[in-house]
Amino acid sequence: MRKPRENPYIPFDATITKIVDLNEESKSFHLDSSELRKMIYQPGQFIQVTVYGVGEVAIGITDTIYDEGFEVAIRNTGGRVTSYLHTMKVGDIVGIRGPLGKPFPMDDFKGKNLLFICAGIGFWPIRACIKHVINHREDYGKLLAIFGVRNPSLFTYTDEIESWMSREDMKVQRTVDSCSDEDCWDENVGLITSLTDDFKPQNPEDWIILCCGPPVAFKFIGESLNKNGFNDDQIWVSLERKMKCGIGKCNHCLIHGTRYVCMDGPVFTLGEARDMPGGLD
Amino acid sequence: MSEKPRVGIFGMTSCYGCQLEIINLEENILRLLDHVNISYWRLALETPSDPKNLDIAIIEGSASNQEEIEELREIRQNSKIVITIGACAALGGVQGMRNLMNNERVMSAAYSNLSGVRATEVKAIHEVIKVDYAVRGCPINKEEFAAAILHLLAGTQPPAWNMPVCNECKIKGNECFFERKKPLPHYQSRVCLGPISEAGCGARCPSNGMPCDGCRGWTEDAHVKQWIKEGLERNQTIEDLAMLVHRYSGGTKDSEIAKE
Amino acid sequence: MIPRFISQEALKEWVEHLITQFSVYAPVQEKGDYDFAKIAHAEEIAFDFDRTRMSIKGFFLKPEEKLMSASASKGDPVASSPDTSKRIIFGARPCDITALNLTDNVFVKDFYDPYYMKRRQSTIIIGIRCTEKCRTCFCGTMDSNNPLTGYDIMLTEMDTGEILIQAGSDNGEKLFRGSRHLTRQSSEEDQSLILKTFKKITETFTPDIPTTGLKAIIDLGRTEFLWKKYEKICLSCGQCVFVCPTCWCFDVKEIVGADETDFGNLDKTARIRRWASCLYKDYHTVSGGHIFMPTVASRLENYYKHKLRGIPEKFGVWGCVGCGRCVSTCPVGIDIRESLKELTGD
Repeated sequence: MRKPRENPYIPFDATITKIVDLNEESKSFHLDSSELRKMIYQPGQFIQVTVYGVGEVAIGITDTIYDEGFEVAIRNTGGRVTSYLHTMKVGDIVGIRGPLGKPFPMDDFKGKNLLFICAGIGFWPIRACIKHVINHREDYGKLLAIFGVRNPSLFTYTDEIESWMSREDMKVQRTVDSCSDEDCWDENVGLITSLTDDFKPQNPEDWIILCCGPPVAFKFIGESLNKNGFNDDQIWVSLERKMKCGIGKCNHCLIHGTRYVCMDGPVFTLGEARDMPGGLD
Repeated sequence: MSEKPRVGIFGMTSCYGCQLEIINLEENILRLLDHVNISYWRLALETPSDPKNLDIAIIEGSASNQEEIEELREIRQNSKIVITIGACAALGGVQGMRNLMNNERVMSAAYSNLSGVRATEVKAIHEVIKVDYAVRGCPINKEEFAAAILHLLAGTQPPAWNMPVCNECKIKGNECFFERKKPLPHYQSRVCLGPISEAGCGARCPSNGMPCDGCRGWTEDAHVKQWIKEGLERNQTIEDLAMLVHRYSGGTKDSEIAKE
Repeated sequence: MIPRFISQEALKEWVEHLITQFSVYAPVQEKGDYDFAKIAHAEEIAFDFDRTRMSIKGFFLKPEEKLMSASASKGDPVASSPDTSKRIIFGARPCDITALNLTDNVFVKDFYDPYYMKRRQSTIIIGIRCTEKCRTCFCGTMDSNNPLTGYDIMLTEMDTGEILIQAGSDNGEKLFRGSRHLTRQSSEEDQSLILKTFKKITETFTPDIPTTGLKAIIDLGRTEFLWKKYEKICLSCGQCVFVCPTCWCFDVKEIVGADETDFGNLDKTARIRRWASCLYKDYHTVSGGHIFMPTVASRLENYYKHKLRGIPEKFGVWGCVGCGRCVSTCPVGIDIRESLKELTGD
């Protein structure tokens, strides 16, 4: 699967073909180049995006393969690279390295029911999984997707989520942590665990849970799911760390001396993540 | 960019050594001038110049009296980006040590006639106005200054490695001045500040046979207390050590540690 | 190759011969310590050296290097090519060679690092075996004083003062082409001499620090007392990392306009890699301000666990070669030998 490039530190170029505002702090960038179209990747993997002269940033892949190129969603965290990316325009050039990391083992999940838990921008890597499953719908059982953000204005890809809500073969639940009186809504209000607490299917062992969000949320989501009969090895999470090389050399993403998030992850089971001290920090 | 950005270079209380370092860029200063118009520089421009409508203001020195504070506020209003150069601007500098002492006593020791002296507490520039970027060091590292300007012109933040001087010192393969149980070289009996000082200078002093002076200020996670303990083990007095850690930063950093 | 012997005088003559063909780097005395430097004459070599201030890792993983240059507007990244002229490192110690074997694994496995590997392939390594323990070393414990590969020639001083030459590669054998007259072939009579010397070396480097059960103890997780203790005194200066032959952490930054030949051209960008230390806070800080390992204790734990738990699991060898450089360089006196004893409750 991994084709060794001659020099793994050198990116290939891609052109920004479209920019979409996702919410007040996030944009999605459509990228395209002949090399990019050859790129084969799987849900859960990430790429390194280079802004030449500014820096490089690791970004989870937000989409499944399509012919016109490729889409990444990026939140402006105020850092060198993401803030510069948000000033870039259609036609500008960026560099890409990847795909990197281990994906979600979607083939192993065949025949299972799937629960997707998307906390905040953790939705973006999971979005690739959801689209993959919809494209291969007959391979999987029941589907439930749970989305949680801080307030209603922070939802991204709203049209897409709403199109999933209208599907008969899939259930979608949304929640916001809190909302002020003016812009509140008629769906659930409360932490994401308020939805997972109520998730009590008859045969929990038939389910696989794919979860992405801030690591601190994994602890609470894990607890909530454990109570309802799910064990840690059914729960798959995607971890985040500072990354530089992305190829297991620079040691930035090493978790307590034993696992590289870039090479051994970013996808781990919650059990694996708990076994690494500090893994969920 | 159709028109070149307008740059002003200002000096507050300082030795003007950092501005000299800019001139010391020699050939490379011409390459910088390809990109900018210097519209105000008292040290280097012959003709009277205009400190208004600036894109970049470069400030050396600390604010040490009321006039300087007012001038700084004016510069801020007239400039899009403010960057400071040198230890005085970033930390207060050597003159900042007087904040730790009785100001009147310092003044009467320095001047015979106090009538024209307007000196007040020493302040780093960022304590007076918003600073967008600081090039540190006493004096600045001219290559680092040039890099900072080029990055700002390219519309991005200058890169910072955020490491202590030990990183650059070891990269250069220098002899360590701070090794345990090793007598301090007789010609320099003070302790090296490298482990707790911000890098970026290329370990200039240790590479030339002198312990680090800490002119770029403490690192973000400097363990100053332990450094002082280690200094005491190396037969230094607490007064000497306190003076060393506050030599450049007395004006801005709290002096709690020295008191302890 | 059947092992050969060379006299100390002839060895110098041979080195002089090598200098005519290669750049030769050897330990020299400098500022009160030994360090590798390019030599012009065999006399410059400090043959009495025990270990050098810095390990030989910097020959391959440069302290600072440009990985590529590119155009800010058009991209087109171009990789920089490392200097691959043939060179010799004369006098590498076994611990450094063991460390090199480990880092080779890292830089060739999964993804091939061309900068490191090209330098590695263009370098001939002539090792000198230690016959005595040096300063703070504990290589016997870390099983690193007898590397089986990683060198082209290994030299061992016999009790008689003669030096045994063992080739570790074809390149090593070729080095003696044209210089065979300087050496003598060993014969059966030499066997007792060789055995005697090596027996003495083995006895000198008997493991003396307990490591049994270390893996289980670390996995149990009851190690926090040690990191908390060190946290109080560690300055996070990172010196132990830079002198360590098995620390290969680096940081990468992009810069503009600093091109050597075209200074000030804002379209020219470069990617720079530089040694970094996992003990620095910035090393774990991401934009937005989150710090993944916020305390010095957690960073120290990561550092030690990588060497004593992570690397053994991945590569089957200790991540510490017991050279003892970190022990002598640490300004506050943190001693990994003491750490090992405390961890194993000795």
